[in-house]
Amino acid sequence: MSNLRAVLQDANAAAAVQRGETYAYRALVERYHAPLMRYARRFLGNAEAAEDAVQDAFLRAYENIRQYDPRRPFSTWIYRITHNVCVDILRRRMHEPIPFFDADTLFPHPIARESTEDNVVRIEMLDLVARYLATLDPKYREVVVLHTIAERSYEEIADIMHIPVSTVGVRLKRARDRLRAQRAQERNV
Amino acid sequence: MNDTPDSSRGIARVLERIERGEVHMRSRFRFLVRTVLIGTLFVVVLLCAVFFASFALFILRMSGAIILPAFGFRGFRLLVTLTPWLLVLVVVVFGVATVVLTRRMPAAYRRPAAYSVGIAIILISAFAITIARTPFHPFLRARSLPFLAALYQHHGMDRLRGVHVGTISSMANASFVLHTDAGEITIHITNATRLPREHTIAVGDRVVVIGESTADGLFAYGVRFGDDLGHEQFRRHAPAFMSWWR
Repeated sequence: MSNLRAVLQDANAAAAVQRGETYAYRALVERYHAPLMRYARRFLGNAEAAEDAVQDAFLRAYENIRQYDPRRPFSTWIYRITHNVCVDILRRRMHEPIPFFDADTLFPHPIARESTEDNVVRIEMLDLVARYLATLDPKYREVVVLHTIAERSYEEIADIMHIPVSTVGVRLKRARDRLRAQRAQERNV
Repeated sequence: MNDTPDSSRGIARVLERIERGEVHMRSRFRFLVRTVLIGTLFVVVLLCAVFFASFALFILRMSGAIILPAFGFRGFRLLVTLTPWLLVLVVVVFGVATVVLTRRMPAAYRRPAAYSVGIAIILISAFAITIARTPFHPFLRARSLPFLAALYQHHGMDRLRGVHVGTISSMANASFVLHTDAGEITIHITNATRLPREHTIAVGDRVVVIGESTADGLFAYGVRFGDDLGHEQFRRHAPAFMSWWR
């Protein structure tokens, strides 16, 4: 299915739910449950918490569906809600330090876009993520998961996390460096 | 993509909870009200930031403190002590609130926060400087409105010790009499007094004087023309389309 077609189908389904045709919500839940589970599981590092987070996100999305603007991608909207739920869980249940303000978002950084076509980098990242993702801070972990696992663009990640596009690039670069350092450290031991 | 047993169970659970009526779709009106409230809050916060910033500037202009840096280090030090820091803090708080509210918008959060901060500083400063030069604050001060009357009274000119603004009413060899809102003061000029370079002072000139008060009068550290302090200059040079308030 082409990306544009998927976006249109999402928007149509969401618009139908907004009109009261609640059965259309099934299509959205079926389409996004698995990708959101992958995202939440990797981000939270806990399958049970991820299940709760995704369920909560879908219920919140249903409650607030009339706030959704069908001219914008549904995927970004539902990921944003899931992000909020996950951050709440990390703060309250897991007591992970997630600051309300991050100095990374203050000043402009050059956008260091990695080439998504570069298969070698992608395979390397998937390998690094599979091995060392848990060692990263949540703010780096989430960007890596959204980019590498959920295959979101920089702009989409910026909209999901409400951070500048350039910060996405900086965090991805730092995360990749840290993952590589972790691998090098393990090899030296 | 979603046909694993775990995924199917998860999907079924979500849909069951919706069918059981555990959650209800919120009305569009609720979101509309929320958007209007946030928009209103943004406007109010921005207006408060502009009001207090222009008020701080107005106090500094009317008291003569705004031109203190022209008196050198001593004037600058006096300006620092006379600056209404509590007002500056209030402006900063409203400014930060403005930026926080702005950061909810995609055009703002997609760019570094420094841009939002910079734009907020430029906007608030531009509006504040413009308003401080108009008769807006003198108008409000004259009205004695509740809360505002106390605000204008609390930040009255009498707080600015060491700075005197007024009109020269008579002159002698090494002194002159300054007519201020608080009465007449004799100003003594010594060799150390820094006088305006461009013109000699004369009776009828509006001046700002800083110096040390004694029983015999005030020994001036410096004297500067004070034409650009109030809104008089703005009034004099205001564009024709603003003649409505002249």
